[in-house]
Amino acid sequence: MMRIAALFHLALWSAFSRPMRAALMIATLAGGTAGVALTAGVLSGYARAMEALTFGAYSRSLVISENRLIEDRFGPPRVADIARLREVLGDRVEATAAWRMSVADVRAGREQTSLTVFGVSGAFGYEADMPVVQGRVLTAAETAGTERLCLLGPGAFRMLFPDGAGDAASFRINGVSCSLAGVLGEPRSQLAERYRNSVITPFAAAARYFEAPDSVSFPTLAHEVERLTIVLTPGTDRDAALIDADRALRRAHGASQTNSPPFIYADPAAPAEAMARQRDLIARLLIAIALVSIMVAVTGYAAASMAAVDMKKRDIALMMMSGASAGNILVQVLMEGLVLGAVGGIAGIILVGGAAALAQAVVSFPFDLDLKLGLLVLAGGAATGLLASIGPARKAASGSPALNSRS
Amino acid sequence: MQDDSGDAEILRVDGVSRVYRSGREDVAALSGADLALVAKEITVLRGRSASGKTTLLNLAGLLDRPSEGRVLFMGTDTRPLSDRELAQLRRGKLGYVLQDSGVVERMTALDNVALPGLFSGRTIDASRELARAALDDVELGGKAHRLVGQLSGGERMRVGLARALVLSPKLVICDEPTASLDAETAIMVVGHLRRAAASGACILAASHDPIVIDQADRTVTLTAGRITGDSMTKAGVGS
Repeated sequence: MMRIAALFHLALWSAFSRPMRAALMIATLAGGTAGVALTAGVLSGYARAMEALTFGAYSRSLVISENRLIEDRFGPPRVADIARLREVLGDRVEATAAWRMSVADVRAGREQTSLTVFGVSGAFGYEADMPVVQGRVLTAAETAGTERLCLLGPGAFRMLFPDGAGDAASFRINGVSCSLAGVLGEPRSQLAERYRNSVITPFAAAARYFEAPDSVSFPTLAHEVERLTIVLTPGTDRDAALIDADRALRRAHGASQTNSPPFIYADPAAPAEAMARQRDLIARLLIAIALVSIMVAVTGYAAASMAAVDMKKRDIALMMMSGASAGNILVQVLMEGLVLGAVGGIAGIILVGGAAALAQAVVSFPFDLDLKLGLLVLAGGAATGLLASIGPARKAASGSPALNSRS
Repeated sequence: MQDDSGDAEILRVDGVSRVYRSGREDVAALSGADLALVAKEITVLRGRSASGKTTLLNLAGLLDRPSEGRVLFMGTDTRPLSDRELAQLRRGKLGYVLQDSGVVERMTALDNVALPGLFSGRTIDASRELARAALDDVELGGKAHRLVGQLSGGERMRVGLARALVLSPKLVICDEPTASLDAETAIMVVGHLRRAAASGACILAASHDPIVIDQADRTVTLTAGRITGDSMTKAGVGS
């Protein structure tokens, strides 16, 4: 029984003894692998981009804000709208949050900076999806109260407390003091990134930081909210919930049921869904390209390999006269295909990776070919080489050593 | 199996014919050949072109199958053997020397000579070790790492010879081994064949070269696919 290492040694020799032919065969296989690598990289890039746009339960939300595009505006939603919506939507509501936001001058000891301050009443964790790394989180009751308690995003905390902070730390927002309840950690979603360099404080307390006449706050009035987040329970018909919510809010704000809606109902899942549609379209195109490139690679390599077997039939006959069985020759040619396929795979990945890096410097598009995916594509390249070698290998193994040794 | 002289019989060809299909016609390249070869003997096949020498060498070398008759190698009837079993039988027990040296192009002399070792299941290192010794025997140890394409015709023939003899085969098949060599190299090649025979190998060579014939123990003449003469030479009678 011939050793695998010896067969591999001969396969390597056979693959690279004619460098120009080897380069041609590698280029053929690299083309096929490049098509697959491009498809895999783009689809993986889309998957990552969509992951960043997927916000868990928050994706099931109605995010309600003022419609500023209509002529007769009704102003922002109000805190009281939450109760109305809970009454109308009933058990279709999983959680609610009312938000306002402002930019404020924030000081802690000698540190001073300008930060976004979010006032919230309700379940803020759906949007500010960040773990608490120091202190504690604000309870629902605290967010509904007036106590001046604050949470700091990780960036804001580093700016205000570069040397860390004790349990009883406090700082000032527009000159009004606030006790540091807790510090949030790294954002777990793209959406939560907006709270990295910010302060989160109870809704009613937030209004107090902006009582100064020269401060800028949105909305202006204490009972108005910048946005309402209504998180719907799983399985809820979002469109039906939206219609019911819109009807109730129109009634509450004195808006006609037939005119343009006074509020906008944003769908947090919409960007991911739009991207999924875009991905599906591009995926079909890329998969078609990949299939064609694999077919071209397989047929091109098989034809080149078949010609190579013809050229090498004397060498093959001499190996058979030296003791090689037909099986040895078969395995040797298959190994040669495997090796050239793997090298072609590496070349294809480098080609696509380099081209993608250059293209991304000019135009932004999703592409992510990590090590695991790269190895998978590489294995695919090797398998392509192997597959394309089956015909040539059988031909090589079936040659007559008596006839071919004298050709 | 033993012959009259007491030497071991290596090969027996019994009533062997080989017919090739040429278009719609069958062409008999060899008809009813009987031959027994023993160890330590050099047998030379003589005959004109197309007399069946190469066909008989192919059959004796287990590279081809007879249309009729049987070939026994070291007592084993090769008729029922599969191609794989034939390859196993050839492995290490048969060596081939071809007119054009039969070396694998674009391979070093060392790797060429290591091939029989590799195919017989030895490691790469062990095969190369044997190959080095065989190349030293043919005085090419210093050119072991040269590609055979960079060697002269005589050197290439010596590489082919080293590959044929590297595993001390029982039977060495030679097809015009000195036809393209100068007299000095031819004498060297025949000297190696003679030494291989002395150490137990059976040599079957097709040749018209007097240098080879002079060293033969026996000559077999083929005419139009039939064995028409089989005689011991002076050397053969002497031994």
